[in-house]
Amino acid sequence: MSETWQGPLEKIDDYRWRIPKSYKAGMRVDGIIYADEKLLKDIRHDKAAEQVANVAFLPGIIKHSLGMPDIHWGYGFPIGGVAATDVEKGGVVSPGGVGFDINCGVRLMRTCLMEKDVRPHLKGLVAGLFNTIPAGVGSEGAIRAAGKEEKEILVKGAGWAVKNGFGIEDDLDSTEEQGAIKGADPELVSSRAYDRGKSQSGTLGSGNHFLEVQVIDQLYDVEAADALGLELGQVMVMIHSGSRGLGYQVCDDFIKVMLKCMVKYNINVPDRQLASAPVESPEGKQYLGAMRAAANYAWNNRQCLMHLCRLAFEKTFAQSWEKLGMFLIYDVAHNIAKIEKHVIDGKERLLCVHRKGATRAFGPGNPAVPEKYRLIGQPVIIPGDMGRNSYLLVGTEKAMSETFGTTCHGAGRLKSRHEAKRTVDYHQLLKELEAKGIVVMASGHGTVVEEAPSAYKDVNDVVDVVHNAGIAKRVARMRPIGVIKG
Amino acid sequence: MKRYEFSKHTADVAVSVYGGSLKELFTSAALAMFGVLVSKKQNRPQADLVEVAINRSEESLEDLLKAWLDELLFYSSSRSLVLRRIKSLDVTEEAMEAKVLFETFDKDFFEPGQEIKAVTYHELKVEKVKNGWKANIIFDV
Repeated sequence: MSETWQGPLEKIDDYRWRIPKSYKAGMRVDGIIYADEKLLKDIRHDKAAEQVANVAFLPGIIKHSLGMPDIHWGYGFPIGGVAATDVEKGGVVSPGGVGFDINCGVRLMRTCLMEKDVRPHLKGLVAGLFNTIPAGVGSEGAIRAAGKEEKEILVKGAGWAVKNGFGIEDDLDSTEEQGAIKGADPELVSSRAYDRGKSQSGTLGSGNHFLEVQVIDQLYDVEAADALGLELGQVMVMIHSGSRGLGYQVCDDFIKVMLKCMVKYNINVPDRQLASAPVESPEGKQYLGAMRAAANYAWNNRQCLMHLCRLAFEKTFAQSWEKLGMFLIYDVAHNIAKIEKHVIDGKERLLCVHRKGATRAFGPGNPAVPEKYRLIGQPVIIPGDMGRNSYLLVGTEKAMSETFGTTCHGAGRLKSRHEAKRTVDYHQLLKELEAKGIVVMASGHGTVVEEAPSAYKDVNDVVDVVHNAGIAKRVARMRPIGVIKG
Repeated sequence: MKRYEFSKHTADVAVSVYGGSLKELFTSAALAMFGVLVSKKQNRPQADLVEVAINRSEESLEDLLKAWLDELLFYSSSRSLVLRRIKSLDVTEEAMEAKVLFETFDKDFFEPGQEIKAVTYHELKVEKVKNGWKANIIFDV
């Protein structure tokens, strides 16, 4: 889309812009977008702001329809959209507010290796990772569960992998919801969803999913860095993947269910992809039961991917992963709907918080934050593009009061995939990345080109906004040295 | 007549597909979908083929087109299959019947493209145009 979005964006302060509910008949609350002047220009270039306004139509929506600074045009919800509905006042849940890739998320693992230890082995390590971790269209998982176990994964999540030797208890302590959200009902997952997920457990996927070997190149907060065991030059591993075909199918199945029941519940939304049902309705409850099952599949998937990654490191460095210090820092979802208690106007309310391309960022002291991090706040992992940076931040009290404990989830796309393909040359890009000391392996040339750094906003700009707006706090910045993609 | 062309969408894949008839439109949509999923590296003279019958009826043409693509995506993603040929296809505004031949995905013959997560309802539209039919589809990738 070449035209610019012409709707109203009223300045609240340097980092917040309001779309008043008077913009469109049917909006129940204002929209608020977190951005600075520079990012706002990019945001106006697609339909994301219109989608923030559309989300404000959802029955029961409370406070504001929110857009994070990495916001861009999605389908239904914008990517980078946050909306909370009041469960006890008929608030709805929308599968489109979670997205097809239920519990798409990131995990970050530290190592005790420094860049100088890895550099001489980097090509072999990346090749080892690429050969160990199935990625891309048509790839099949190395870790398979049979029959009854498939359903067990949907209840136990990452706990299934740990029980089967693909990780340790500490991994679960370092995962949102301990790697398994309660209330999952595998019986609500269709046979088609099982079929699509069967061969894909332990696969990375394609698109923007990746595994990266990274190096810490900036530390911002000494106290938090100490608590997280971080130092400059340290090698980290970041994994970005989701619920694969199983989750995609669950979302598609329930959008169809909800499209059929919207008349019954008198729900009017301007986009079919925003189909929804009250959280307390049979359809709403069923969706949440199936969504949680898919979320648990995703946590198990990332746990299996991390296990495979540990094996690849063990092979390259001829040492056990424990000796290599490969411990999980945290795993957090960025496509999910969760029932959470938040204080609204001085009163505790039960909300259904949709985070569509947005990361939970609970502040210090919150009981949902692992005990070891409770003083510093929940770790927030923000992947950037393969040529620049990624970040580790922590959640804040201000995020609790302004954004339902939520912050951004990445750099956010700037260019369409089509445009990237037209303007980026694969071999040239690989050369440029190599000159920066970054080794890339991917199953298809197209996916690398489409994910070129120039297709993304600069993650540094996005993180500056969330840090300065106070909805997350910078701890460390990483740069990639090894990338594998689908 | 061009079968399909991609248009700009920031994160996903937006495509316009064309056909002189509904049959051609649905064929173009299938070709566009597999054009995103894979590209051919070289001809594969012989392959084990899997035949699948797809019969659907829906309340609108948009839903019918999505149902057709959903079926193709299901077989492709759950069984690692690639579209070889549409053996037969009949489409009316309410229903469709097809027999589709798939072949197994093999990296020697196909370069993997973007995995499609789903066919979205966002801006999904089928319309009559001067020379036949046009549809706009956004794939979540």
